[in-house]
Amino acid sequence: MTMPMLDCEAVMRQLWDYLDRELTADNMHELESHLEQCEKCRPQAEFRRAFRGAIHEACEDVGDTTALTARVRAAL
Amino acid sequence: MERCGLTALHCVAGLCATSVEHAAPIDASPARVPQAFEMPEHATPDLPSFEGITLPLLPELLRFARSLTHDQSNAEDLVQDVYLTALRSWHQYDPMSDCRNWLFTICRHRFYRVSSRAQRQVPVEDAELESLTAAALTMSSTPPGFGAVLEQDDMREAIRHAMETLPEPFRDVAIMVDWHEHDYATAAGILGVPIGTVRSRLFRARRIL
Repeated sequence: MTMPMLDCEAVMRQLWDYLDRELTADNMHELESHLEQCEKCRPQAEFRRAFRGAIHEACEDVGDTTALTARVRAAL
Repeated sequence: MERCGLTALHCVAGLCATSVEHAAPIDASPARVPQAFEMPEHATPDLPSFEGITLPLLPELLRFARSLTHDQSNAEDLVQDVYLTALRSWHQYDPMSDCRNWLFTICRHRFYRVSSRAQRQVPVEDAELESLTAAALTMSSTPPGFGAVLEQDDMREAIRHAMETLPEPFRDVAIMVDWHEHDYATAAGILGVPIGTVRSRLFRARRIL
């Protein structure tokens, strides 16, 4: 049986879940197929993927933790 | 009996002043979560085992503490406090569970307990409404080459600043999912909220950002 195609509104509603890999395998596949074919939704997915990546990249590196590890170990 | 919506862990950590029944911790049995951060007198912590399991997680824990405190020195103090608390509660740790999540939970509760920020609450709006609103906002707003703009250093600084100024409930979720790459269920367990709340707060956080 052929699955009904998702409409764009349904895709937009689930897009963050898709990008966060929070959907079931079937739903992931459904959205993936829609995004491959839909010129309207694909740029939105690309934008959100880039935005999500930029947020992640903005997380600061804490640098060398050797001194803190020694301090914690001494306190234990 | 009336339920207050917070978990027993929140109550122990001083986050709830009610006397009503508390919801069970999400994805965390009482044996897996420190209930009172106290070690019974008869228990002796196995320090080498504790250090071997927890110390490799220190850099990640410091990164999390830093994202909560926005200050390196305060973050280091918080991390030390977390380790001392965790050692006292080591007998409650379930070796089959994820130690990283256990330490994150303690870290967050110690932070809010010390900073007395727990009373602030933000009502959660309907997730679907949030989703539709955000979809409408973003539908026609994608300039070409936006990825390159997002990769600029000043953009990173701007995002970092925006993250720091997010209202706490939204920031907590964004930190968990976007900075520390927890899945929704793990974030929900650490924050003591339903997965739907994580989803809707994350949506709002990203929209604000």
